[in-house]
Amino acid sequence: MRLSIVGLNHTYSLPRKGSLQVLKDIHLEVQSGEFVALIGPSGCGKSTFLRILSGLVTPCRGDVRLGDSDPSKAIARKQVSWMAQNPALLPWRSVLDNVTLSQKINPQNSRILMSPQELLELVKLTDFSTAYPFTLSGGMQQRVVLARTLASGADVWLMDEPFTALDELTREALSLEVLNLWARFHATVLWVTHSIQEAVRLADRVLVMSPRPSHISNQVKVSLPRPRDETSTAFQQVVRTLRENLSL
Amino acid sequence: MNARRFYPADTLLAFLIIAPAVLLWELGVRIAHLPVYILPAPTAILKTLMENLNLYAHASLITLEEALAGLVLGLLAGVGIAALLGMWPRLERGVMTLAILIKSTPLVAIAPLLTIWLGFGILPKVMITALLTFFPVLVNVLSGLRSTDAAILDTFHSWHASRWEVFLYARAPSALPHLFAALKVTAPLALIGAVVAEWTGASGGLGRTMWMAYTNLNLPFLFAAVFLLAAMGMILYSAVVLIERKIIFWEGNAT
Repeated sequence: MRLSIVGLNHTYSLPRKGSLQVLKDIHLEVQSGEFVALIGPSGCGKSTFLRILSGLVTPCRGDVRLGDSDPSKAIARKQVSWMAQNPALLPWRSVLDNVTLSQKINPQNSRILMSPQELLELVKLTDFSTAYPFTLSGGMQQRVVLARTLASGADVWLMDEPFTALDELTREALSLEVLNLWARFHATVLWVTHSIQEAVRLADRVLVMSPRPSHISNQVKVSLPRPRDETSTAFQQVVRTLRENLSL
Repeated sequence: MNARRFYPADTLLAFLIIAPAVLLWELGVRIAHLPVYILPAPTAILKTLMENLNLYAHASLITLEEALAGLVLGLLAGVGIAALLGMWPRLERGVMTLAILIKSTPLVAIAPLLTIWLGFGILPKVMITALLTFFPVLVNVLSGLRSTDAAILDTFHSWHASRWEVFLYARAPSALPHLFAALKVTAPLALIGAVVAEWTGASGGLGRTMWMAYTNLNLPFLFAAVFLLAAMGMILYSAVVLIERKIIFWEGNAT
């Protein structure tokens, strides 16, 4: 699904402290099936941007379109899936029941969905379907969340630093799995990250956000073939370009 | 899982704490030659209990029945009102004012009134017990409904979940540990409620037994009833803890 954002502005009103503008005139077009990474200094409003797209925050000004409809309709139809750093799994439900729940709530009966069992197979957790989330490692918990994110069959995946809390190796392995899933499902992905390497490893296009009030200050297309070799000169060249952009 | 397990050594420890206290009491009464109408010795209390076992069993059952009925009623009222306020927070000020009003009414003052209105049977006792127990349940469950992890709520909202779905799948389970915290307080409290209600006029029950013993200055008889009440309170409390362990297996393990 295509995303088109025109003149998006958002200001938080803080009690007794006045207001805080986080987003300023964001213009963005994302093609259907594109993998876009967003990087920028922490606190610049990347999360707010994704929360607006997932319907958790109503923007002050600007036009957001998901496909042909406005976001509230797309969200009510579960065409957008949001995943954050915090797993937010229900501790009283088993792994399988956690995945099942995301299909049970606001069910989209007209859509053909993968069964929760198939989803768990996809993230290699079949053996743990009856386990409870708190018995799993952080990486496995995020796999459950990944299955849950895919469960709705949404075309747009909004991923807000999903693996930041994990160790480097797990994080890299999981992000490559997401890349495979993205290719398989032809999803449109917006991926927020702090890591330039990760952005270049995954995305078709990397957007650089400025400090607050933030806008998209620059963007770099990554046309390297996948799987990408991080030690290659071409890869390092893209990383260097981005680093120069970020320090501005 | 949790460290709250049953250890036989704990039971032994409890016995080692309680036994010398009882022994000291027995010795104190005997050495000081305290008359039985001031303080009866534990052995005298036990003897009275054994001699009137039937009477005590009958009275205990009546009180237990009243306490449990009142507890269930208070529980239903507390959970029901909390659920209502959880779904429609704007009702809170009005409803809570009313709840606090009821809570602050001295039950000793309205217990005789209820007896006049509803008779000497079980009903006024159930009402008093319910009035005594609903408030802790209401306050705890309400704060439990609000304690739901913000990240879980965000996830539900990103699914466009209805208010009812959020309540059923996220808020209500989060409130369960709080419900059990309230039950640990209210289960023994329910017995007190039933006894106080009986004290103001009843045809049976441990409160009635205590009142009769008290007016006759038959202290061994009174103390035997107190012991029974304490034992029942402990059993109820343990039952709550047992059920809690079965149901709340995830507590302290949230992700």
